[in-house]
Amino acid sequence: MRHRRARSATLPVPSPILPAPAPPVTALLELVRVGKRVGHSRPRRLFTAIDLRVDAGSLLAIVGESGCGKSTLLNLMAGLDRPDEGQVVFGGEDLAGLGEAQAARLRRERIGFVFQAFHLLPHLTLRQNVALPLRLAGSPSRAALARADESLAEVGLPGRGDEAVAVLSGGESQRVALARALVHRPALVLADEPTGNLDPESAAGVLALLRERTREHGVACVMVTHSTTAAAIADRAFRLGHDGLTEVAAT
Amino acid sequence: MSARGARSPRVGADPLAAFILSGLRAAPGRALAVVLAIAIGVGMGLGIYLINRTALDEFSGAVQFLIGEADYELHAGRDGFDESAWARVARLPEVAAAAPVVDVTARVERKARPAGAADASQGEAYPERRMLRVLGIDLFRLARLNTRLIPMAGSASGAAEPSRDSLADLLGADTVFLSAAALVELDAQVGDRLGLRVGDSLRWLRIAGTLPGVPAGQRLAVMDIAAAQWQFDRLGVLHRIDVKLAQGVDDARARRAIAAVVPAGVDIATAQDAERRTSNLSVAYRVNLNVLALVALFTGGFLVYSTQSLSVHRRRSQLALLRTLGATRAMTVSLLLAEAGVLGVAGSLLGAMLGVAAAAAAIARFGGDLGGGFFPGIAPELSVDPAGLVLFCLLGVAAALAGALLPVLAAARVPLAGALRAQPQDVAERAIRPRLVPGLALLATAGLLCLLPARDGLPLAGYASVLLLLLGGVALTPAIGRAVFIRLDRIGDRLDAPAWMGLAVARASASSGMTRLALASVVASFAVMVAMGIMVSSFRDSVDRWLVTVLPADLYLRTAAGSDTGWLTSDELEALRSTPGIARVEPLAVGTLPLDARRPAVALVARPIDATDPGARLPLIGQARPAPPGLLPVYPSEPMARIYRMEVGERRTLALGGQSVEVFVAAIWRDYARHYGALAIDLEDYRRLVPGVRVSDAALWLAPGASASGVVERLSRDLPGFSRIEVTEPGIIREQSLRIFDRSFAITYLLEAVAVIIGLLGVAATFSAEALARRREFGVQRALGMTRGAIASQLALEGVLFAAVGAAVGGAVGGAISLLLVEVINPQSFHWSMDLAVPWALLVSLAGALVVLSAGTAVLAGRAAIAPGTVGALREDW
Repeated sequence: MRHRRARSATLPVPSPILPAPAPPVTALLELVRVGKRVGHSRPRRLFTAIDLRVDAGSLLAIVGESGCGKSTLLNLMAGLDRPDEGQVVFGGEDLAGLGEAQAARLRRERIGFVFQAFHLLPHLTLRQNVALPLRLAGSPSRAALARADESLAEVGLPGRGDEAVAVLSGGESQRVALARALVHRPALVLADEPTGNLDPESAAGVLALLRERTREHGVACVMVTHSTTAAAIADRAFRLGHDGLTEVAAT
Repeated sequence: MSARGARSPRVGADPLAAFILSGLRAAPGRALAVVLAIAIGVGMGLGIYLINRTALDEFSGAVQFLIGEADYELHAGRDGFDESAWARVARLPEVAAAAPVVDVTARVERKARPAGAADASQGEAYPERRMLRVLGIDLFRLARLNTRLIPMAGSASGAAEPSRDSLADLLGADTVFLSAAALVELDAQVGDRLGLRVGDSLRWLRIAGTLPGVPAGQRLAVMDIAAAQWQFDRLGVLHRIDVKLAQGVDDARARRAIAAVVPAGVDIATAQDAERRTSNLSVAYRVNLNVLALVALFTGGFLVYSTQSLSVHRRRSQLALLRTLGATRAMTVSLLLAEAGVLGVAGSLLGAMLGVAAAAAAIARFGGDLGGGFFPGIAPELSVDPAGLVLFCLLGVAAALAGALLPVLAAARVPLAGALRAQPQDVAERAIRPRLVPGLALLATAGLLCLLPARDGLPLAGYASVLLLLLGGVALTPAIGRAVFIRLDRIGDRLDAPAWMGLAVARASASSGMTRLALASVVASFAVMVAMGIMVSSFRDSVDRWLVTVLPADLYLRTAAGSDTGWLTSDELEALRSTPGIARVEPLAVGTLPLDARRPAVALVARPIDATDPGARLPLIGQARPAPPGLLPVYPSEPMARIYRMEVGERRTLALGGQSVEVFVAAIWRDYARHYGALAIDLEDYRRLVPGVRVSDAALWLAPGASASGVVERLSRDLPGFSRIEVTEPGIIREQSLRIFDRSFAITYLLEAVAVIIGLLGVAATFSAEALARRREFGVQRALGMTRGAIASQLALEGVLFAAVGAAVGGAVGGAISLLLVEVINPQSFHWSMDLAVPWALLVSLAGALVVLSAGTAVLAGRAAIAPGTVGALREDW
């Protein structure tokens, strides 16, 4: 089923005759007719006319074949890249209108990231890795480190803040990454193939944790994945193709 | 996960601080190299600065001390002026006080204890040459201007009772008072007698007391002015008049009044002029040394650039992560600059310690002028100037930050769109497209700047031009490297070369912009090597040829070099002429000619010069012109002609022998001995102007068949007073001169060594990082059947190709810089020119060594990546 929604950004003008409509629930993140091309000399259309609404506390999964633009879509949601057409609206604000510093501030205060390759900094302890977003946001070092310990405990790694990244298993690394993504209480977590480097058992543990923690904190999550098992934990799942985004059954 | 991740991280540290430190800990070898490079630059710069500053402070202090409270110092070179001028000056209503001074430097030959008779045959001879500056003062008049010169009879410590007839001592005809430093230097005490050489006789003076007001470290003696005039054969002559102006008299009026009553050639200088004169004497020497030291810091900056480029290249996924997590560009730049700043601070602190230690050691070993002869009579103690310390530390940090700036800015532009991809190494490197325009623009600006004249006697535009040439060459290197490698690749395709060769060339031509940029350190270091090599070789070659021309005789004879009281009498000259084996004797007199109160006096060299063929005795630059009848031909040296803007064929009025004389500039000659200028004049012409000219040197030509050693032996036997005469063969003078030259330029060899090391570190840094990133590539090659030996050969060839391009570009840039040094900076600094002499053999050997060492370094740096079964132990460090 082709998923299309009305553009909430262009509300109808209230009629003096009809009663005023109830104020709409503002989406946390909304993609409006978003399109993206790749390549400079001979540009190729990656996708076009994508509409998507992400509400607070919801977990969305996006599946698709390699090269269909799943990661690019996440980049657009994070303000790391800009669409060639359409709008990406976060908290009512068009990301295209944000400057570099404002976009960076949005990411460090309201978005958390989970990557397939974990991207933990190898020379930092687990606690330092997790505290990094807080420090980037200007939290005092002591408070940030204490909060990082709490966040590690929340992902099942209590008391391990002093350990080195190198001693972790894949599943543990992704738990640390999840702790880092949630430590600053973001409104949205963007997860790019969070189980791509994990064995099925570890993957199941990480997914359960992702579901549990985002729900507990009321955090929205958009996850792109190849795995239909992973997509199954989502509230809603979509398939990305050249012709756009199609909602599929989450199971 | 790499093995380095297993290192225990710092527990509890701030994550941002830990991120900065992680960059340093990831490659401690590279960090150490950067710290050392900065330390060497800061250490050399600070050391040279402290040495110069210490010596100059001491010397300025001495100048200030001698002038005391006087407003003006009237002086006229070594020959002095008629003492009648003093009475005329003292009578001027503008003058409140005027004190006459006789100022001579004499050679002290012997010392006798009080018990010994004042006989030249007695006492103890000094084994080495000892000089003593003696001021003849009018005690009662000078007391109003400079109380610190007032002598005290008896010893300073008061251990010995002052003599009962102290006044008689103060005004005694054979008494002298010495400063504490002079007593130490001469190993003498109050009551001893000193035998001072004056002409062909020895004058014995008794040390009657000390000079308690003279600052420590200054070797000085004072005696009554009339006694000094008599003892030193200077009757009726003054060297200086110190003047205190009456209240309310302005400078212009005072100068006019004084100039009207003093003989021509007497200079009216203030204390500031005298200080400036001292500073000017050595300013070019000091600035050039400092610039050389800064070159070391500059090449260190290039190493920072190379290592920082590689560091951010290696960590680009981490930087992208930081940006993704919300770090702004400014935050990323700050973090990376802080990392470079840590290296800069560490290097600067280490360099500061090195600099202070080196300065202390150098002053103790060579004196304040490193043997350059600019600050005679001064034995300074190192004074560490906090402002200088801070300045050089800041320069070190600035070099580290400047070197890191471009790579850091490039890192902050890492495209974030790829940051969320699966593998960290997939984060796209921003393509660096080699561009020609910035490099060409830098070179063009350098070309324009080198046309500008010196500012305050310093070739500032020339230095800027050197900097831009270096930066321009480095900026062009990526484009040149790409063009060369692509052509080589095409040629390789047509040849049936072994696979590893083809792979090496293909890899070089496809190398990343980062790799080509890392060539910067090779280019910069080789350019410095070539520039220094050509400049020193040209200078040495020119000095050598100049020495051959200015030393045409078979033997040179000189009386007490550096003293005012050693001269050859006419009888001695006659005896020389009649000595068997000597065919010709050419006497030479040396005086001084003050032309500008703020500059050191020009040396006046009077020797026989054939007006029809001056080139027979002087190494002329250009053609000579015969002087019109009635005009005195003079021959300014090249520095004098440049400083005072004199041209051949020009008429000038000069103050010679106390009178204004119209002279004709007949020719200009090359002189490397006096960068503040010399004026040559025919001895007979000079004698007509100054009847009492004293000859201090003589050049001797041997008769056919006579041997130098035979003549010297005969002179030692037959010539009275031979013991005070130094006879040298030109070969020995030449050898000594070149030895002094080599010692002066020793610092450039140190710089070249630093440059070689920095260049090789650049190659090592590049290849270690590249080779590690190519583990998979080598794995594939080995899977396809390539041996490890073949891969090592491939790496070696890549090292050769990179070093060859670096050396070629560096050689071209270095050649251009050497031209600037030879044609612009040296003439503007020292006012002399030289002929370009390229030491091809040295340069080719250096280039060859760099290429071979690069090949070895490339293999060594890449060995971990090609070692069997050591993937887990791979290190990115070297």
